[in-house]
Amino acid sequence: MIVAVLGARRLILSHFPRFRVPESLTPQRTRRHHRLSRTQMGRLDFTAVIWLVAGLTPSAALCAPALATTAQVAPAQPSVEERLKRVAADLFVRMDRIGDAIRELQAILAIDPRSAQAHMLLGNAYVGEGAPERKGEAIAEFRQALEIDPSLVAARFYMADVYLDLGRTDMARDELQLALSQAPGQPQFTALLGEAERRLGHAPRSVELIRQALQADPSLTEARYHLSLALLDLGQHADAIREMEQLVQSGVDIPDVQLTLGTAYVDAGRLDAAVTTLTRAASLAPARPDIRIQLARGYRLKGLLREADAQLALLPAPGSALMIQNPVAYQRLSVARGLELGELRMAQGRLLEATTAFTKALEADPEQGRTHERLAEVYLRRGEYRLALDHAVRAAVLGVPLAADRRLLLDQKIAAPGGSK
Amino acid sequence: MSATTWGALVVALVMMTGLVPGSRAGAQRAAAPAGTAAPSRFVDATTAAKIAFVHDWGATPNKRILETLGSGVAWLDYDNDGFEDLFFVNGAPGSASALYHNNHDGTFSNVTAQAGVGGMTPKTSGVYRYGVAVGDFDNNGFLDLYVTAFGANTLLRNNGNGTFSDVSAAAGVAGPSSDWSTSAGFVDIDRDGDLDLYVANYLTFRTADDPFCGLHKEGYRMYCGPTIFDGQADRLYRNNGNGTFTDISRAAGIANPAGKGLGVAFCDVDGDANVDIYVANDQVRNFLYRNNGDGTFKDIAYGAGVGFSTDGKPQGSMGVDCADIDGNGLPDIFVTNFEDELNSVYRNLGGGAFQDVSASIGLRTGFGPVGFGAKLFDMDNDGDLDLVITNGHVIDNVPLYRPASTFAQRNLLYENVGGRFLDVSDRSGPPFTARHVGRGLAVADFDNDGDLDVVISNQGEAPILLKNQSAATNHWITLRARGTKSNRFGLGTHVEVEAGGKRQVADVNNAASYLSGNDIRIHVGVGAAIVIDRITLRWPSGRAQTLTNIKPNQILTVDEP
Repeated sequence: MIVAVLGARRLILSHFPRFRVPESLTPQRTRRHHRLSRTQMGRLDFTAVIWLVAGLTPSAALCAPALATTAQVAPAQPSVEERLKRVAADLFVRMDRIGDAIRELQAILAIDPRSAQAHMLLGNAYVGEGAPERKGEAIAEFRQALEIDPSLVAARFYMADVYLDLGRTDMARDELQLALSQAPGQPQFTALLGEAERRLGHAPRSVELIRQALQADPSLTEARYHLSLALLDLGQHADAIREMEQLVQSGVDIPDVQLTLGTAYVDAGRLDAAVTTLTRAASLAPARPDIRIQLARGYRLKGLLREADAQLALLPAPGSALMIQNPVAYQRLSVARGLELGELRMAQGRLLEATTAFTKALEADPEQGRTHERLAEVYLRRGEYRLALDHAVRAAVLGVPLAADRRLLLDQKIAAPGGSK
Repeated sequence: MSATTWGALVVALVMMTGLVPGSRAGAQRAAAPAGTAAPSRFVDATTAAKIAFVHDWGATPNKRILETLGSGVAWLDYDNDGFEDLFFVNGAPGSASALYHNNHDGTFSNVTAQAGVGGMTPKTSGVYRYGVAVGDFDNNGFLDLYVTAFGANTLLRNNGNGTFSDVSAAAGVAGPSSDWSTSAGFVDIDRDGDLDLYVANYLTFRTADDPFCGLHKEGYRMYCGPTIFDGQADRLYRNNGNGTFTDISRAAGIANPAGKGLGVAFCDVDGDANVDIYVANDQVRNFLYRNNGDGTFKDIAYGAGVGFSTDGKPQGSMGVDCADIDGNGLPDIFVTNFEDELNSVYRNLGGGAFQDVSASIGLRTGFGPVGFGAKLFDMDNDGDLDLVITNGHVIDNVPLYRPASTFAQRNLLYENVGGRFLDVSDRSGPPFTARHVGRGLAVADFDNDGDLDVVISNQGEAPILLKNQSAATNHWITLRARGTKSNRFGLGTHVEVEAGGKRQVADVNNAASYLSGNDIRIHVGVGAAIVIDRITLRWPSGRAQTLTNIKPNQILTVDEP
C-alpha cells in the first residue's frame, strides 16, 4: 500500500521554500538525489509494513472493496476499524482514489481524533498526492500518530522517507535509527537508512547497510537501486551498471532507473546503450528535462549533433515559476541545460552561441567550476585570452582546472605579443 | 457549564474621569442608522504620541527563519488609571522591549527602565522574543505580562507600583529553552477563578541547524519556510492558585507535536460556557480544541471543518480572531493566511459545525499579501464587526523570485456591510496605503474617546499607532469586567448587549490577532440607539447579572455579583 502511496513522488526538494510547486513541473535531479517511483517499482517492498500497521493480512486487505463500492456492497455503517482497513487497502491498490481516501480519513478523524492509524494513513495519503506543499502536513500527521502511539514504528519510517524528499537527510537518519531500535533488523528500514547514509556522503556505510538489507530480503528492488547509486558514488561504475542492468532485466521499467543507467552508460562511453536506455527513459517521462539533457549528451558524444539539437529544442526554458517554487531544481536545471547547449554549440563550431549558453549557466549559478572551465575553453578558442584566463583561474579555485595542455596553451597565448587581449 | 440562575444585579458604574478633550462620553448625538456609517478614517498618530520604539528583527546573512516572525504588541492598563498603556516586544537578541505609559493627552512616555520590563538579553544569547500575553495571573488587580521567545519565556508580575518582577522560574512557566513560543494568552480553562496560560509553539529549531534555501547566488539566499522543520507541541499551564503553574499539556490533550502554532484565540464555540481554543498553524492544519469541561480538550478541527482551506489543504495561517461576524450569536473564526491564500472565515453554524465562507464574504483583496495580525472590531460603532489586517512578506528579497511581490505590504481595512466585508482601505487614510512589514496588531480605545484605535508592530521598523477619527455619529458602550469569584479582569465572561432592537454578543477576551494583546475591556457599538436596553453578563464562575436601561457612550466597570 505504502508503495503505491508514495509513488507519486517526483520532486527531490532540498530545503523547499514557502512556495508551491505545480505538479506539472519536473525539475532536474542529480544522481545523488535519484529516488524511485514506488508505484512502478518495488511495489511490494513495504507491504509487510503496512499490513502490520493496518492490522491486516495481505489477503484480507487485498480483498477489501474499494471505497467507491463500499456503500453499495455494505449499506450498514462500518466501524472505524473496518473503514481504516478499507482505506488502507484502497491506498495500496487505487492510486487514483487518493482524494477519496483523504476525505474518508478526515471523516474518520472527525469521529476519532486520537486514531494513530488514521493519522498515519492520512500522512501517507498526503504524500501520495505528490504535492510538495503536502509534505509538511504529512509529517505533521506522522508526528501526531507517533505522539498517540509511539510504538507505531511504521510512521517513523514513512516520516523518514518524507524527510529524505525534503532534503532533511540528518533527520531521516535519526528517525530510521529510532525505528530500527524499535524493530531491529527490519530490512526496509535498514535499506532506507543506507540511502540516507549515502546522501550524507557515507557511501561505504551505505553499501554495507543496503547489502545487509538485501541479504535479509533480496526482493527489495528499491534497495537494489539505492545500492547502485552508492556504488556510483564510490566510483564502482561497472558494479553499479551491473546492478541496474539486473533491475531492468527483472522488469523494472521506470524513468529514474533508466536515466541513471543511461547516464552511467554515457559516462562509461557505451554510447549506443546510453542512447537506447535514455530514449526509453524519455518515452516513459517525455516531460522530464533532465532525461532530455542526458539524451542530448549521448547523441552529441556519438556525433549525432542534429539529434542532440532536437532533444534540447524540446526543453522549455526554465521558467521563473520554477525559480520561485523550487530554486534548487531551477538552478540545477538551468546549469545543466546551459552546459549541454554550450557543449553542443562548441561541437557545432558556433562559439558565440556556446559562449552565450555557458554564460547563462553561469548566471544561474556563478559558483559552478565546470561552467567556468568551459567558458575558459570557449574563450581560448575564440582568442579572447584574458577572459579565458579569468575563467580558468576561477575554475581552478572551484576545483575544476583546465586540462594541463589547455592551460599551457592559454599561458603561452597570454605571454605572446598581443596575448593580453 | 452554563449558569442556571441569574444573580442579583450589582453594578458599579464608573464614569471615567479625565477624558481627553472632545470625549464623547455621555454625548447624546444624532447617529446614522446601523450599517450605514460614514467611512472610518485613521491617522498615523505614532509621532504625535511620542512613541519612539523601533523593532529590531536581527537580520543576518544566514537568513534564519527565527528572524522572520516579527514581534507583538499589547495594550494594557498596567497602573489602573483607566487608560490603556502600550507594551512592545522586541525581537533580536540584545534588543529591549518597551513599555509606554499613556499620559491621557494622546502622548505616551517610555517607562521601560523604571518598570523593569525591557528584558534585554545578551546579543550572544540567541534568544529571540516574539509574543506577549496580558492577564492578572495572581488576581492582585494588576495586569501582568508574559513574553514568549525562542528560548525561555518570561512572566513579569505587576507589583502594583509601576514595576514588574520576573517570576518565570518560580511560577514554572518559562518553558524549556528549546521551545519556540509565539502567541500566548491567559484563559481560565477550568473556571476556577484564576487564569491559566496557553502558549503556542512554532517549530523545532536547532540553533546549529542552518539550512540554505534559495538560489546559490549572491543576494539570492532566502528564508526557509516551515515545511522543512518539525512542528512543536503547544503548552498549557494550569494556574495552581498560589503563584505557580503546572504544565498539563499532555494530560489536557493539547500537546500535539504536529502543530506549528503562530496564533491563538479563545472563545466558547459551542456555548457550553467553557472556553475553547483555536490555534492557527503555519502550513499544517489548524486546531480547534473543544474544552471538555474536565481539564481536557478534544481537537475537533476535522469534524468542525476549521482546519483547512475550502479545498481541504492546510494553509500558512498566522493570525486569528474569534467573534460573531454575522450576528447570529455564535462566535465565528477568522484566520490570516500566506500569500496566494484567502484569509479564512469559518462561520459558526452551531452544534460544532462551521462553514468556510472565505470565498464569499468579500475578502478577495487579502489573497495577495501575507496576512499576520488581525482583529475583528467595530470601528464605526455601527453594531457589527469590521476587520483590520496587517500584512508583510516573510522573505525580504522576494522580488528577486517573484517580481510582483513585495516585502513591505499594505494593511487592509474592511467594513462589515450586511454580513459581508467591503475593503475600505483606500478611503481610510494614509496608514492604509503605505507599505510596511506588518506583524503584530492590537486594538484598544487608547484615548477613551469612544472609538477603537489600532497599533501595529512592524518588523524592523517603528510601529504605527492608528488613531480612529471616524465621524462621531454612532453610540457605544465599553465594559470593564471586574471579577470577584471569577478572575479579576473577568476574562471569559460572556456578554450580551441589546440595543435598538439588536442583540450583540462578545466575550471578555484580550488574546487574539498575532503575538499580541488587545484592550481587555469590551467595546460594543450600538449605532443610533440612545439607550441600551439590556446588558447581560455570564461570568466564568457561573454567576450572571443583568443591567437594564444603560446610557451609551460611557465606560462601565461591572463588578461580579
